Amino acid sequence: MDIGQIFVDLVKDSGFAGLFTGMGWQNAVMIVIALVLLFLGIVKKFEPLLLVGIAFGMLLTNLPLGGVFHAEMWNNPDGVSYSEVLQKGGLIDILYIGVKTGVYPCLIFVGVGAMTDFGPMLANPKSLILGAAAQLGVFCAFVLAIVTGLFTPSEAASIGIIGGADGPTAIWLTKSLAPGLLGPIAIAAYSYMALIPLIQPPLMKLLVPKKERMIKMEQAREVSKTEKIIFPIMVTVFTVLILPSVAGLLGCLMFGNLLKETGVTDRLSDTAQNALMNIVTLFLGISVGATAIGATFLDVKTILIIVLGLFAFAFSTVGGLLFGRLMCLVTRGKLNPLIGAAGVSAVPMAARVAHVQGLKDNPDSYLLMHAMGPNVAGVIGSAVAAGILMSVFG
Amino acid sequence: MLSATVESMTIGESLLLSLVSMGTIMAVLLLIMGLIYLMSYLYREFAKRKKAKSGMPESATVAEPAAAQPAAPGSCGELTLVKCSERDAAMIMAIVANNMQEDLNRLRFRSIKLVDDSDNK
Repeated sequence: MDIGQIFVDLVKDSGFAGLFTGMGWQNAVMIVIALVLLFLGIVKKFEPLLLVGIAFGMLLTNLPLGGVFHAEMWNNPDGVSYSEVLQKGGLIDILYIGVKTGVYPCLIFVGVGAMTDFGPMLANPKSLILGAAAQLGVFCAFVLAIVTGLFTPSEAASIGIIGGADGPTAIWLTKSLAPGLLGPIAIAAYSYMALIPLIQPPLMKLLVPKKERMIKMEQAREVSKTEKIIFPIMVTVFTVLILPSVAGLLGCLMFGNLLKETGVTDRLSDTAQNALMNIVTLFLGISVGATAIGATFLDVKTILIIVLGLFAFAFSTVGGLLFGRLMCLVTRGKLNPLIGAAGVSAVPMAARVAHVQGLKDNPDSYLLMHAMGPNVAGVIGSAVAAGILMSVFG
Repeated sequence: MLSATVESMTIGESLLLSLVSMGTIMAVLLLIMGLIYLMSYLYREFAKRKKAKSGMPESATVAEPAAAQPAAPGSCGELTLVKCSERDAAMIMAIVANNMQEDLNRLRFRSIKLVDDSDNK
């Protein structure tokens, strides 16, 4: 028995050897990126609930020879063989089925719906227009991605949806249109959502004059329980009839909201808001992170996605603010344009940013509830935008 | 047309698609907005009729002057009276205007309510 040879074989078979042979350097770089993302999630608290999971999934999948995720099974041009995934797949392959089939984003939307109060939007239905205007960034980024010539239209659509500022929606669309870009797009979407307090205020100051930022809005009317119960049913019926492709996302959002509002399904609402949401977030984060493999992630496309994602967020904010100014003009100064920026979805972060900026300009102005209107309208708007892109490119 | 453009797309086509998509999003959300207005209108009408049918005592409300009787300059809105007669309300408003040294037409009263001991029990 050659003890030395056994030792050499052990070293050769170890993951360490994998890091220093062939394209192993890519895995090493990815591990560093995963550690940076873990730092941002844990220390800087950038969307930690998802970013920590994504970063850890990225770390796991890039440790050579681990075999927890097999990208080749999912990128098969002949289609995915689920029996092969179940027989030969690793842990994350099994979890990834929920992403690939679009189950996780929809289940997350059940939880989001159960946590969302549509009251401010029902009290001021005009805020829906701001939610629509703030989807401008989706299409600006889409056109810019086409202009680069590096992306197919389906990939460009997936990049554009980053501007919807809605992680589950971005994942839902990308897993169908550009599964190869799922990692960078999910990371860009969640990172920029966390950076909203840094991205939006300079644009607010640039585009809205102080006089308009100081506008104090009147208190909105109270919304009855009956209206809140009818709303999710009504929106589901009409919107899905117009755009059947949004049935999954919007239907789940409204179902979750109905559970909250009925008053007779408190246990289900509680489960959707907490247990279900946490479990799905855990699976979603780790499995999306696992798709960020060195060989595909370390590409000029990733850098472009990060840049275009920032454009998408910025243009969405601009769209909301400019339409807010228009509505301010039409309502003769009754609407503070800052709430337009909240139309970018990202509930409730964007509404809070609008509120804080308004408070800085006028300490008597409380915009939070007013901004929640466009904010939840943005969730509907981004789901509709994703539905349109899915029906065009899906 | 769409399936033909999915594999590749010119900048012009992408702009056109963006325009159509933004228009569709706006139309869908405007439709939802319209539905919300309709729903809240129907709900209010239904609640009003239900209240009227059940014959619940409503608080006395001084209606806005009829079209034939033009409103006094500066008059606006409605005044809700709770356990208070129109005569008492007129006196109260006159006293307040006098004490404030303001023209009555420049003041706006939303509601006048008699608070008696039974309300606090």
